[in-house]
Amino acid sequence: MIVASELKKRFASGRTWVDAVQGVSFAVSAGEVYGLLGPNGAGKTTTLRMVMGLLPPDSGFVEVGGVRTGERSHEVRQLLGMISTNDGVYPWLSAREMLLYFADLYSVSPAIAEQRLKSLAEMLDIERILDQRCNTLSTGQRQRVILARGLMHDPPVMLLDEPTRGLDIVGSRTIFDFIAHLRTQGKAVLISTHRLDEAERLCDRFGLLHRGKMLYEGTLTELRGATGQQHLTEMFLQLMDSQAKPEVA
Amino acid sequence: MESPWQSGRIWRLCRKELRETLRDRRTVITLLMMPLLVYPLLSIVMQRLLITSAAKGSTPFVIGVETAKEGGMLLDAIKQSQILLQEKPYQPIRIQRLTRGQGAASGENEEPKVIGSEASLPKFDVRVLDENPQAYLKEGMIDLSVRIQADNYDPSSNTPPPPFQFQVGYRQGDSVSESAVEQLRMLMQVINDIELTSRAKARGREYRGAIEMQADPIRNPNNGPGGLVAVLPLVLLLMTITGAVYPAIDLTAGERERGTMESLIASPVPRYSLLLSKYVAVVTVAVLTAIANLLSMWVTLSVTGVGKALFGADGLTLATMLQIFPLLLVFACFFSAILLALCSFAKSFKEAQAYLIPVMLVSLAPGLLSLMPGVQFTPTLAVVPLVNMILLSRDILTQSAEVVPAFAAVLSTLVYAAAILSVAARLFGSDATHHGGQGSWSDLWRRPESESLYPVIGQLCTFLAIFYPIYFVSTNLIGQQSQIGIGSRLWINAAITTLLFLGIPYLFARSRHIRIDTSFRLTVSKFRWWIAIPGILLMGCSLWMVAHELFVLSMQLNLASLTVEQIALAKDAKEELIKLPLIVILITSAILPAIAEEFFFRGFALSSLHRLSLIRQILLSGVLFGLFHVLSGNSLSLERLIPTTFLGLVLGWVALRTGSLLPGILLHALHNGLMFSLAYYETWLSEHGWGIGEQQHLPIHWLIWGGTFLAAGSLLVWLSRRTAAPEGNVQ
Repeated sequence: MIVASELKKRFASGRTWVDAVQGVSFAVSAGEVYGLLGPNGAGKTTTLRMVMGLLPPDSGFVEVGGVRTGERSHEVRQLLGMISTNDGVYPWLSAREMLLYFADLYSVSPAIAEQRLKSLAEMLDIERILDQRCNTLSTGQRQRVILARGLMHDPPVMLLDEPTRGLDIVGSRTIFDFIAHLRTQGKAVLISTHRLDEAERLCDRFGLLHRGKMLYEGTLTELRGATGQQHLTEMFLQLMDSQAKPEVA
Repeated sequence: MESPWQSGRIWRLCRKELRETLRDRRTVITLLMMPLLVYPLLSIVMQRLLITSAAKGSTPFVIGVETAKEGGMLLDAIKQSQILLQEKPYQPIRIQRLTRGQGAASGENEEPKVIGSEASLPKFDVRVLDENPQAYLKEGMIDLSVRIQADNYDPSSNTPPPPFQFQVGYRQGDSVSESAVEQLRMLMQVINDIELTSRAKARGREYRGAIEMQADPIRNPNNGPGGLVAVLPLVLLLMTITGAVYPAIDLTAGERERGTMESLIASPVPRYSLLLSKYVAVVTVAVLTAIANLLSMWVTLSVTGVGKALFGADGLTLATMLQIFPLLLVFACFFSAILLALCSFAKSFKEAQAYLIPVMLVSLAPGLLSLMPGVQFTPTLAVVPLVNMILLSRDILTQSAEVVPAFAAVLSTLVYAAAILSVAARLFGSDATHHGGQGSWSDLWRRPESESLYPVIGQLCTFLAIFYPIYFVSTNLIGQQSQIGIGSRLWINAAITTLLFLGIPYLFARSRHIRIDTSFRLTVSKFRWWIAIPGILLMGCSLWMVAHELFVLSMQLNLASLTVEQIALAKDAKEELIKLPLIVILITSAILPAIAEEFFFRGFALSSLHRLSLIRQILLSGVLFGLFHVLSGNSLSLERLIPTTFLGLVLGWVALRTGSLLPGILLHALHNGLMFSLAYYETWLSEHGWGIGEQQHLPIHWLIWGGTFLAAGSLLVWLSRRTAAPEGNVQ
């Protein structure tokens, strides 16, 4: 569903240039959960924005569902659902109003939007709070409303940007269940996170990003074979060290 | 790609924004509570000021007369009336000689005449001035000016003496001056009604009265006592801004702060559609605030009586309120765009407030400037943002607004609003597309690295915001230079037109890295010239007939806005014009304007609309062309709107059909040239039976021939295109 090929992006930072992404390639198929992993500043968010079509790559391309983002970005966005930990809600709207508003943004007809709202509310257990204004909801309730928002237009591709950052155990558990649900629904899921322990539990395949470069891409088994390490954290530190040594020398 | 004008979607987006905004108590408090508090407080302050300025119980009203004889007659009349009214001793009334420029208190005193005193009666100082009292009245040095005309009357005749004619001047909108004229009228009425009329009845004669008083208002340059009337528009505008501030922050910076911006920008709705819905919401709240303010002001001024003191006996009327309201709407459009642009860049409420506070303070400066006495609503000030709205509101309140600056003020403010909104559209959500979540103000001015084929609508708006004030002020300045001869004037006009319509768009396009040949349609490869040129010639020979008929139609629809004086001046100019060689007229008024105007209207402007449908491109560029010709120089020519818009539509179609600017230039030049040639040879044509009355329909057989030529020419132009698909949506 997602094909990213040789993505490159530079930004001006004062008088110098920063190479945010340097030739990143990966692919995510339907029903697969792909983890884009790396420390802060690795280029994960920039890569996600290029996938969403918000940022044009300097070179390379992204295809979502066979559509290139640079050419028909609005069509691509229709195929994407996006959820981030920073996401918020509209305090003066009810949960129902907010969810229907987003359905409208994605051109979902009112009848289908109502049906989808009902099933999502049932799945995420937010039926009782649908008519409450969002400023009266608890943190957990808001989180579930945001998850429902991402699925109101039933996108085949979901992008999750640091989905568990700042969440407690209960909140993180909700996210894990949500991702499991997405997998069963056959959606292609791209997760950007620096929480390697969580990624290990959630993702089918991984792309390890560091300083804008894809250090390694593969399944956990493939990674174990290549690095001789058992856990992603150890593998990642080893790969980072091996990248850093030539520069030091 | 979704059109930004999908009205259903936009309306639903607006409804959500409005629902969210109006549910917020902070918006409602600003909207309703502020007007309820501000105007009563303001009225108390105004009452105080009025009491101070109008404390005439102890100080006499000052009346200026031109001659000592008039002063004596006026004093006698006042004295008589006071005696008749009270039959008591009266306050001394002095005659002073006053020199202009020395102030009211100075001057050479005449011998004071003591005629009695009574505290309850109005008191007057009569001053003999060294020149026309009207000038003193205008400067506020006297409260009234009086001229007295007395016919030579023969007492031996059997007819009753004719009344003295008192011509009294006063300042409209100045409560002291208006009070003085009422008091004087009352005293003169006493003479007429009580004394002389009764005498006449005793003699058994019909008697017309001793004094006939005619009061003539002059426009008050200070607009009321202490310029108080000018304070009201400033307060109204500032309150309107206040209403828009909170929703503007909440719908932009607030969107970021609560974390909804990224999901909004990630949706498949174009950013400018999202911004447009927010803009409509902010304008709506601003307008609701304006209505609440207008109502509160009206009720307060009516209840407290301050309205009558400021605006005369009728107070602040509903008609005046209805005139002010559209102005507030225009202003709301303008300032909401500014607020959205600033707040779109802010990443938090705090940052947005930090941006807005200086803007509010900067807005106060021109507002306060416009309160200064003697500030006139000139054409130059008519294109200065904010100042133009305050001065226009002031002039509407004092019933002294003029059409041309009013039109320019409204048009320029709307153009500025559109330009600022296009900037806001670029800033809105930019953090979602920038590295590290932030862009920079300098991004707005940086020349784009990649070249674009065409300008876009936002760039057209920005261009118009720069171009329109320069155009309006320069054409006005030229219009005022009456000492320049007609020949020089033609050349200067041509130079300015070329510079403005050709030079500025070219420089603008270069600065924004827009390709010149595609933007200005500098190509001949898209049409077969041997077919197009005969078509253009046929159209050029016949288009003027349609334009003439539309002009006559406009006159019949009473769309004419030129005053009798302006028409007379135009006729004088025409007389002068025909003394010049025809070739000079054709070069300066037909060929050069045709090249320059086509460069801008069918080049830059039409290209910037390329994302719209062909019909919309032609319509919008045609209306823009028509509007520019309505406001020509220092006059408003509404009668030109329909003919020039029609010409703009035809030229727009020709440019899109041929894909080139050149056929349009030829057609435009032919049309202009033929119109000027007809005017040039008008006398000769009339002598040979070919005369065309300016407001008469053309003979029917002319119209048939003209229509045939136009149709044939259009067909040839249609056939001249090399490829089947018309241009317009090419990216």
